[in-house]
Amino acid sequence: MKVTYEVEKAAREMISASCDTMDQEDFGAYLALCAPEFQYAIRVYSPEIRRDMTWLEKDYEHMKTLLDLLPKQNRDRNPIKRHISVREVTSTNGKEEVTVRSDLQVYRVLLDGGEAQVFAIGKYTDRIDMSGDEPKLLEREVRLDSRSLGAGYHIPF
Amino acid sequence: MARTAEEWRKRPELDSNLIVDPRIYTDPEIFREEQECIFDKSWLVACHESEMPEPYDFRTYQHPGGHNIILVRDENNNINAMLNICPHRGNLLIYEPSGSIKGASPSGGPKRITCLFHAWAFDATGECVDIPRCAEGYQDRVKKEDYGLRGVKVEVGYGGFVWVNMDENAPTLKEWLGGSLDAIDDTLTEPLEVFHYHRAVIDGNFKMWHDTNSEFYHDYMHYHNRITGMMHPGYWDREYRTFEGGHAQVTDMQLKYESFKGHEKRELGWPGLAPGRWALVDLFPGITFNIRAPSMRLDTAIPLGHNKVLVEFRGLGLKSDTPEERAIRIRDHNSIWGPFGRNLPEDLLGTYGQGRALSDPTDAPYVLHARLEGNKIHDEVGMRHFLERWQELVGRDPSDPYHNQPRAAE
Repeated sequence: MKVTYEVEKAAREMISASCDTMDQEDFGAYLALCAPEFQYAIRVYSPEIRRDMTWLEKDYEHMKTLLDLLPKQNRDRNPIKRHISVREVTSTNGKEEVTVRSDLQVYRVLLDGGEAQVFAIGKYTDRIDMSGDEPKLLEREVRLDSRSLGAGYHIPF
Repeated sequence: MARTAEEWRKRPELDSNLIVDPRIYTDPEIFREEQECIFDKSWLVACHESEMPEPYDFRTYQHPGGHNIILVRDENNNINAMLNICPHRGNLLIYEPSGSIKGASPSGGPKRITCLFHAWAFDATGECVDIPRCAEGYQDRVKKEDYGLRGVKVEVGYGGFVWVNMDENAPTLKEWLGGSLDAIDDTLTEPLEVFHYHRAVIDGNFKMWHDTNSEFYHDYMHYHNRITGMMHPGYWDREYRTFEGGHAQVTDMQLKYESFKGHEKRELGWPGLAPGRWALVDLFPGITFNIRAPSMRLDTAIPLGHNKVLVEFRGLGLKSDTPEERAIRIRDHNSIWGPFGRNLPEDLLGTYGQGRALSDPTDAPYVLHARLEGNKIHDEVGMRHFLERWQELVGRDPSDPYHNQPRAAE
């Protein structure tokens, strides 16, 4: 498909909405942006062991389960904010979908005092179905540059 | 009703081995003693041999005693350990965490560790092989034969881990382990391979992290562990077995992963462990072998000071894994123990909270290690056994480390 201004705008707004809904912990709204065949992964390269690692890998159902169980878990309550800068929107193999590459910055804002800290940096590579009335996220790979995340985080980036 | 300050400071009427003065977690002087008396004399896991698979591969290790160490695999496939310091002017020889010296570096030729500062060069065994313009500058007063690197005792074993000991008079690794890993030797029979590595730095003492690994009473913190373990038969039968040297094993059990919504069904096991079984050994002073079939985790605690600890987390599979088996082990490992897992971040939060609460050493006069349940799973014998060994080496009573000396604020 041709990547018009309207297509790029719709993709950009969908990615922004995916960040906002996760930031607000409105997981139902996040999942509503995803297609049933959604695939999610967080990957990172370790210079220490010189290997590519997969830190999280979920399909739609497993992502839903993970998010549904969050109220039962003790976790870091300091909220995080996902900031993205869209770098490139390209069409995918003649299909009604686009691939979007974005830079990702994750900030953590401490509940006690409000200090903002850079929590992680990386990239999103998103594959988005543009064939319907609303764009749907088919696949998201979070490629992290950061590898030190303190205690870790229960909620995906 | 909350207690008064006097009531709060009153020593609990418990045997001394059941209470701990938290200053052993917060005193910089005690930490310096621990570096000298414990870490500089203990066998510690520096890395796994699969992290340096080829001749001339290297790995660096930040030793808890404060030493920078290089591990290099030589052309005969032996792994050598040396201090990462040039004998000329004390420069760091290798800056990166891993790599290979097989090719030439900007300052020197191939198959050499070449100091980038003045190009002194060493081979993979630590022998000095070149001092640039040696005769011109030093005449015959300095000879390369006399300026090799400082070697460090090293052994490879118990699953292919690379162990180092700064003490040249240390007992062998086998003697030091006191049979603790023999208890799970059937799980370490096949060659292993590291597939996961990450670190966490927590503002707390290294013993707080090892304590967390050495008691299971905190399973109340983990929804995951309650659902897959605590609510099922066998959990309460798990028991601690202690070994000479401060080490402890927790006997294995069959976990019910299918009780946790979203977990894959366990069909892949581990050598010596059926799918879903869980074995664990804590080694003094800060290593944990932790195998939940089908994956293995190894923790190494590296104190960065009295109130800061770096914990390295490694995930391992079998070298013989098919790609499908490896993918299962990785998913399984990270669903529980990765930075986005359901278990590990909670453990780290607990240690962070303890480190923060005890950061003022006058706030808590005593903490309890007092659960006695016949060495069963919620008994705190693992922590007590650790501190018995700690007392032998440091020479302080954990319940009274200053022999009734008053606290600074008193």
